[in-house]
Amino acid sequence: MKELTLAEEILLTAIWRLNDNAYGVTIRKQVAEVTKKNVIYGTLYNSLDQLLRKGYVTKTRGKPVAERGGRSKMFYTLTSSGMQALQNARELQRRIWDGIPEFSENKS
Amino acid sequence: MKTHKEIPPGLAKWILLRMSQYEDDFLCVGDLDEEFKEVLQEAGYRKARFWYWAQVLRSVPAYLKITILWGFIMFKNYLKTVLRHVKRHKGYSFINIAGLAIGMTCCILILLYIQYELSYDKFHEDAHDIYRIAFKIPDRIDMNASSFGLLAPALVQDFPEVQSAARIRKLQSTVFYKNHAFTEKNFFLADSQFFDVFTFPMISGDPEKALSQPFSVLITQEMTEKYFGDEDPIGKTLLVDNKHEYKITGILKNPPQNSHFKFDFLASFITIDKIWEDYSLSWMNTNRILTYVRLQKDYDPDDLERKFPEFLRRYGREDVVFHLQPLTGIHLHGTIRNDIEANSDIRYIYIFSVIAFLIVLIACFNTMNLSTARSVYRSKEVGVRKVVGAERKHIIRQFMSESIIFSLAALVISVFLVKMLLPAFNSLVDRNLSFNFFSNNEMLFGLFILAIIVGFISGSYPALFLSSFHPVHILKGMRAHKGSSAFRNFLVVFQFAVSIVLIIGTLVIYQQLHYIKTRDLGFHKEQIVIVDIKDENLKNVYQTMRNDLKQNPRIIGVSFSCDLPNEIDARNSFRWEGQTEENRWQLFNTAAVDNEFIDLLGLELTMGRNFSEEFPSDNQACILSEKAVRIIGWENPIGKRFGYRKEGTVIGVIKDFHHLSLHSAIGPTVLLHVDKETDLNLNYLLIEINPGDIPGTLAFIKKKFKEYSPHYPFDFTFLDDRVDKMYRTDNKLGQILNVFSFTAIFIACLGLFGLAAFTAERRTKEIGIRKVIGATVSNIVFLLSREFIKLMLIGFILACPIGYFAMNRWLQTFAYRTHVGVVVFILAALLALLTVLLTVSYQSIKAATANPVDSLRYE
Repeated sequence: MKELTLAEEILLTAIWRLNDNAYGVTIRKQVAEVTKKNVIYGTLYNSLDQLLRKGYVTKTRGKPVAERGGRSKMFYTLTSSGMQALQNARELQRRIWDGIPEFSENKS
Repeated sequence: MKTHKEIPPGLAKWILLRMSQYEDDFLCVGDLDEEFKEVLQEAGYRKARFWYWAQVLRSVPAYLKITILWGFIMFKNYLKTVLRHVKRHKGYSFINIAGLAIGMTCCILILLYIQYELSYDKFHEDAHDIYRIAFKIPDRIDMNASSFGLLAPALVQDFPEVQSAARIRKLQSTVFYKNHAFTEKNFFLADSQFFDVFTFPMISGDPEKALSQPFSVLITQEMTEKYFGDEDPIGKTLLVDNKHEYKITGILKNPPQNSHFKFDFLASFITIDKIWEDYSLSWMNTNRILTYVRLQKDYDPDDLERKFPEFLRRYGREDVVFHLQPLTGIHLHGTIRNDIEANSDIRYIYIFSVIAFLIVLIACFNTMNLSTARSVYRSKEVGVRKVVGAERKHIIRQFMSESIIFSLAALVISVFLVKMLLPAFNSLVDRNLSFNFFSNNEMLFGLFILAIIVGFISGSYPALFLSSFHPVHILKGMRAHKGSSAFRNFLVVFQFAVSIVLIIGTLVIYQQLHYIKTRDLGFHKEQIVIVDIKDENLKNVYQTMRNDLKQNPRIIGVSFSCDLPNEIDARNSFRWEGQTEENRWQLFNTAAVDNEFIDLLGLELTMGRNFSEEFPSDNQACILSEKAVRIIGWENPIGKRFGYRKEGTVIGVIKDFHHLSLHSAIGPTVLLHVDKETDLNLNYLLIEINPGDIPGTLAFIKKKFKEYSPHYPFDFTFLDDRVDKMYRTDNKLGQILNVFSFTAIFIACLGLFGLAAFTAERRTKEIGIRKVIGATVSNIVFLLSREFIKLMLIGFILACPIGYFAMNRWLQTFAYRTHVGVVVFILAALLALLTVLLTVSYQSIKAATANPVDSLRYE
C-alpha cells in the first residue's frame, strides 16, 4: 500500500479526531490549528475529493441548516482502508523516530 | 435579522458560485457562509469581508487545476472514441476528412492570393501617405493616370503639406552594352525626389544624388547580372537607343513583385528634354508622365483635393479635375488610361472571397450531413453516456471536439496539399505567391482559427442533434429523428445550388471567350507577323526595305505603321469644314499607317480609295471610319477638309472595326499617313506570310531586318497572339472559376457518395423485400437515385436566377457580348445530373444487385 502524504495524513487525522462532526468548517479549523496556517476551502475540497477517490473516506449528506443559507453539511467519515492507512502511517512514524531521544528543551 | 452588513460580499459569493458549479450542491458555499458569521461576530464586518474575499480568491488556482485536469481526462476519452470510430468507419472518415481538406486547401490558396493582392505597394514606408495624381476633364477625358509635366514642382512649391513629389515616365528602350543589345520594356525616367516618395532600397550609390544629373541611370541587380555578369557596373556607360550614353550611378535591389510598377532601369527625369528634341514640360499635355506625391504624415487627402480648383486656376487649367489616388489602392482599383500595368480589380477579391467561403461551407455541410445521417451508429454511445451521467452539454462538447479534431487533421493535410499545389496555382493566377507556414505567424494563427471555425460549424448541428436524444428511447432501440432529414435535404440543396451557380459561371465565361475568338473583328489577324521597330533610321528606307522583303514569295504583304489595328487608342481632336462648336473636342482614335495597311489587314473600304503612291499629296490625306463620318454628319465625306489644322483631305471611308478589345465600344477612327509628320516614328512592321514553312520565313525576315537595322534586337510577335492577350484576365477568370467549380462539385459529390452509401445501407431490408416481390435492378436504382435527383433539381432551380444575374453583370463589362442563353442552363443541369447519377449509381447498383437472401436472412 502506498504511504500517505503528509497532507493526507493531516486531513485523515483531523477527520478521525472530529469523529461525528467532520464537515467543511470543522475540518478546515482543525487542519488550520494543527498546521498553524490559513487553509483555503478550494484546496481543502480538492484534497477531500482525492481522499474520496482513493477510498479513504466516505461522505454523507446532513440536513439543511439555516445558518448555512439553507445548505446542508457534508459529513466525512473514515473508511476501514482509511483507518488502515492511518495505522500504517503511525507505525511508520514510530519506526522513523524509534530510538531517537527527545530534543532537549534548551535547544529551541 | 440580517442587515446588509452581515451578509458575505455579493461579488465574491457570485464568483464562488460560478466556480463551484461542478461540485455537488455548493458545499463550500455553505461552509463559507457558516464560518463567515463566526468571524463576523469575533472580528467585525471588515475583517470578515476580507477573510471571505481571501478565501474565494485563493480558491481560484485549485478550481482551475481541477477543471483543466477533468477537461483533459474527458478529452482523452473523446479522442479515443474518435480514433476508434475512424478505425471502424474508414470510408466515412476518409470522405469526411478529404472533403474538409480539399475545401480548406482551396480556401488557403485563395487566402494567400488575397493576402498577396492586398499587400501591393504596402512595402513603402508610410505607404498610406503616398498618392498618385490622376485627372479627368469632365465630358471630354475619362480618368487618366498621367498628369502634366510641370505639376510635380508646382505642387511642392505651392503646398507645404506635399512633402515631396516625383514624376516617372516609362520608356521602351533598346539598351546596348559592348555587343549586347536588348529591348528593355521597363526603362523608366524618375525624378531625383523618387526616393523621398518611394522606398526602394539601393545596394550601392547615393539615393540623394544618383538621379540629379542628366543621363544618369540606376539599374537593378537583375540587370547588373544580365549586362555585366561579375563586373562592377558603377561608373560604366550604357548606350540607349543607339544614341544616348547613360552613366550608371547606382545599383538597386530588384523591386518587389507586389509593386504596381516594376522597373529594371531608372534614369534621371531631367534627361527628358534631351532625348526628345523640341520637347518641353508643360501644363498643356501629360505625355504619359505620372506624378506621385508624399503628403505630410496622416494628412487628409480630401483637404488637398479641395484646394486643387484654385491651384489649377492659377496655372490656367481650370477645366481639369484632379484626383488623389492612394498608392495602396492603385492595384485593386482597375486599370485607367495610361496606367503602367494592367491592374487587378477589387471585385475579383470579393468574388474569390465568396467562392472560398462557399467551398468551405460545402465541405462543412458534408461533415454535418454525414454525421447526422450516421447518427444511428452513434446513438447507442450517446445513450450510454447519458445513462452514466453525461449531461447534454457534455455530449455537445464531445461532438464539437470530435469535429474540431477532424478539421485539425484536415488542416494538416491541406497544408501539405497547398505546398504541393502552389506552383500550379501560381501559374493559374499569374502571381508569385509563397507559403511559409511557420514563418508567417499571422497565417499560422489564421489557419488555426479557420480549422476551429470549420470544426465548430460542421460539428454544431450534429452535436445539437445527437445530444437531443433521449437515452431511454435510444436504448430501447427507437429511432427518433424527425426533422433531421429536412435539414439534411436543405444542406444538399445548398451544395447543389452553389455548384450549379459555379458551373453556370464557368460555362458563360467560356461562351463569351468563344464569342470573342470567333467574332469578326473587321480585320484579319491570322498569319501576320509583327516586328517591333526601334530604329528611327528605318523611316528613311522603309520603301526599299518593303520591296526587299517582298522578294520572298512566302511574304504576301508588308506594311509599316505606328499602330496596330487592335491597339488604336491614341485620341486626338481634329478640325474639319463645317465643324460645330459641340464637336470641337470630339476625340478620334488615331492611327498612322502606310499605303498597304488597309489591304494587308483586309479592312473594307466602303467609299473612296486607299492611300496610294500615285498621289504624293496623300501624306496629308486621311481615311475615316464609318462611325467617324456619322459623328461628323457628312453625306459625302470624300474630298472634305479634315486634319489637326484642317490641312488634309478625306480620301476614303472604311467599315468600322474593333480597334480595341471587345470590352470597349467601337469609336470613331481616323487613319493618317505615316509620312505626314517627320517626327512620327514607325513602331511596327506587319508582314503577312504564307502558312507553309513559317520558321524559314521568319529566318528570312530576321536576316533582312538585320541588314537594315544591324544594331537592334529582332523582336517579333503574331497578331492573333496579341489579340488573345487582351483577354488574358478574362481567360484567367474562366480557368480559375473552372477549377473552383470542379472542386466544389467534387466535394459535394464526396458527401453525396457517403450519403448514398448510408441510404443504401439503411434500406437494405427494404430493397431485399422489393426484390423478392419482383422489383428489377433498374427499379431499385431509380428508387435510390430519385431522392437525390429531386434535391439536385431544387438546387438547380435556386441556382438559375443567381447564376443568370451574376453572369449578366459580368457580361456587362463587355461592349460586345453573347447573352446568357437557355443552352447554358440546360448544359449545367445535364452536367449536374450526370455527376449525381455517376456518384449515386455505384452505391445504388451495389445495393440493387445484392442477393436479397443475404439481406433478409436475419429476419
